[in-house]
Amino acid sequence: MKSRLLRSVTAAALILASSLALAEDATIHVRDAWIREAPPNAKVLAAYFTIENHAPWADALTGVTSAGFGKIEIHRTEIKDGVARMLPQPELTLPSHETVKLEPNGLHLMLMEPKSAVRAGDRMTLQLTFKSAKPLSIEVDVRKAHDGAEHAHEHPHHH
Amino acid sequence: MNLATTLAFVAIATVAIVYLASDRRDASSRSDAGAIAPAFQLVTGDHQPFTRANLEGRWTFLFFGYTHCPDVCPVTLAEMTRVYQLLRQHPDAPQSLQVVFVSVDPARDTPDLLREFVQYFDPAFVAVTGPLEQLGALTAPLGVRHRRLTEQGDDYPVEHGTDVLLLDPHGRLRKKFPLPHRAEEIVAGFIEIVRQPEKTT
Repeated sequence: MKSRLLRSVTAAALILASSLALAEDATIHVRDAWIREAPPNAKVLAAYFTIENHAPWADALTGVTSAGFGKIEIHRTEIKDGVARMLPQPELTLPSHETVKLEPNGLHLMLMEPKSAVRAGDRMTLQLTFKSAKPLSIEVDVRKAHDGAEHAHEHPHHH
Repeated sequence: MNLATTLAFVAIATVAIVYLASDRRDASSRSDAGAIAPAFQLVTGDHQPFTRANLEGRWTFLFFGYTHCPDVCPVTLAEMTRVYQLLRQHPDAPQSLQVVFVSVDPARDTPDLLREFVQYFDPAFVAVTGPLEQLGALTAPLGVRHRRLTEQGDDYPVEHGTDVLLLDPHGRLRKKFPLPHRAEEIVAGFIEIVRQPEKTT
């Protein structure tokens, strides 16, 4: 009788603990992730996604790794007077309850030293590390441009 | 006038001269519509010479970048792929038309590597590069800026002008298409210029 009660309490504690862990994992949400297919001999590719921080505190994306690439950096394309330059970002600030978009001609992950040619239809795994949240593993599809992803965020335009 | 005043005066005068000089350079690069590319000696991905003569007798879309560019350059190349597809079906589009991507990173972009990279987007696209001083002979008169940002290692970025330039069959600059590039807008802008009666300047 006593041991059954102990088992129940232990089970309840485990359920509570795991749901707390889930709640903690859920502070960061990543969606609409994609990698643009590049020419087979490309030395660098770009990944884009939308990242939401549901925590009541600011966080930051501090690093990205993948078995498929030698090195990954967070970059921002700055366009000034029609001249583009890439600015490496040591980290990407994720304000509390805000959404940050990585999109063409703006923020992107620069995927360097691909281990093999990356083709449309491939799925790559990226590990994201954060200042506060636990590391997050995401699956990212490789797509060609112009399958709708590139302009999906823009307003419809007239022809 | 004491020494401090003199130094201050010299400093202000220097800043003013540098500012005016840079301002004038900017102004000349802005008012470059109608500019004709002068003599230059570049090379295509097929190891053929690419000179002023290659801009004669056909319309040219000319734009600049490098293959270690993951964001802006592939976006523009993909958009120009659509421009080229749309123009091939367009009843008013001239038959003689070339799309030329110029790498301003000759240290890393060999002609062979560049050809493979550019022709992934369309096999008809022309890949061009060459020594920096010859690239400058083409880019400076057209007001296109480019600069390697760091010298160390192989991981340097290159800043570069992002406009797509339209040159007429006389090699004259007719229009600059700035970011963001939209295929439909570039096609419409091109057709509008093609329909204009020939200017005799």
